Amino acid sequence: MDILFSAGLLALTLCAYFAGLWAFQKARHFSLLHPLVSSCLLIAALLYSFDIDYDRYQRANQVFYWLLGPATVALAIPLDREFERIRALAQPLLLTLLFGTIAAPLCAVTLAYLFGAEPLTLLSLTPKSVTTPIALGIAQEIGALGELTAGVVIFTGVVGAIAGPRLLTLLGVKDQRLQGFTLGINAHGVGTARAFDISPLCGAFSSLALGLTGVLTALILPTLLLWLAKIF
Amino acid sequence: MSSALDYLKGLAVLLLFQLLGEGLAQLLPIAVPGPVLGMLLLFFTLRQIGPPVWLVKTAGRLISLLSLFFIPAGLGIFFLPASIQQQWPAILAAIVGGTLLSIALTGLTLKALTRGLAEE
Repeated sequence: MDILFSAGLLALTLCAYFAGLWAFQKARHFSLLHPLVSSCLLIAALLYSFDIDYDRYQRANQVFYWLLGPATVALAIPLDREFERIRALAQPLLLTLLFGTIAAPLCAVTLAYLFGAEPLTLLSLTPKSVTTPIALGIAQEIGALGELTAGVVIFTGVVGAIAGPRLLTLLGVKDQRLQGFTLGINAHGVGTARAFDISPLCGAFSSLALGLTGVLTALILPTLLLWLAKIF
Repeated sequence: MSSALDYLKGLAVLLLFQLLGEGLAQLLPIAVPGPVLGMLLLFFTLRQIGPPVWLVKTAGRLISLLSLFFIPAGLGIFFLPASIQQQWPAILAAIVGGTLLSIALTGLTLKALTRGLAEE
């Protein structure tokens, strides 16, 4: 019985995803209908109405957390394919990376602080622009609230994927390589999935930024926070 | 049939590199997740030997399903403790405002730095 229930919760994720994808295509990629948004809303509504525990749902859906591992490793392939075009821009890319790694958490924390967030919430927001597995590792290290970090990370990615390309085009950043790299810095895997929708080249630059931002944030954020904690 | 085998072969290689990455992560003094190190290791390997077709196929399939893999984790935001839920305006401001602001800032920085280098 328990196994059947788990299988049902797993099927729920798949069905909600395919329903979301179908609606997204029917609506001709209308960006607010991002499949991740509609499927999360649908599943949340169902879990609430049938009074199903989120922990129970998570345990039944472990396989998706597990698949994030090989999917992250797989990003090496587009990276390898576009390496020559990436190398041509190495210096500006690295400088922007350094800037973005600091700017993304800083923007989030400043705004949340102005809206009255408490310290634990602010702390949980800092790894919001890095890919989920890294963000969860950092959250653990700095004593943040893991569930909040995970949710914030995913929806940061969704906002980036929905509004990012349009915002950048509006600001005159039209080059696909630059759009991809910016998406990867700010919107990790979800932004990268969107970047692959635009073009494989855009996706490769996004993959690169996703990996580098993750590593760099893991390297500097915990140290930076410790240092700030000493000052204040 | 051969196509199913191709995917299995591809998945096996990706998992192998993830394992290598996890092993390396244990040795390093910093908290970098294994899959990211695995991605870097695979990248350096592919630079040497070039990617086989079946690996390209598997990788493409997995990458196209990335959004699906994020669903269970993203759902967490609808099931937060009540004390955190009360701060939703701040959380929303950070997610929407913070993300748009940092995208604009990094995008413009990158554009300024690549002026003359990038062919539009």
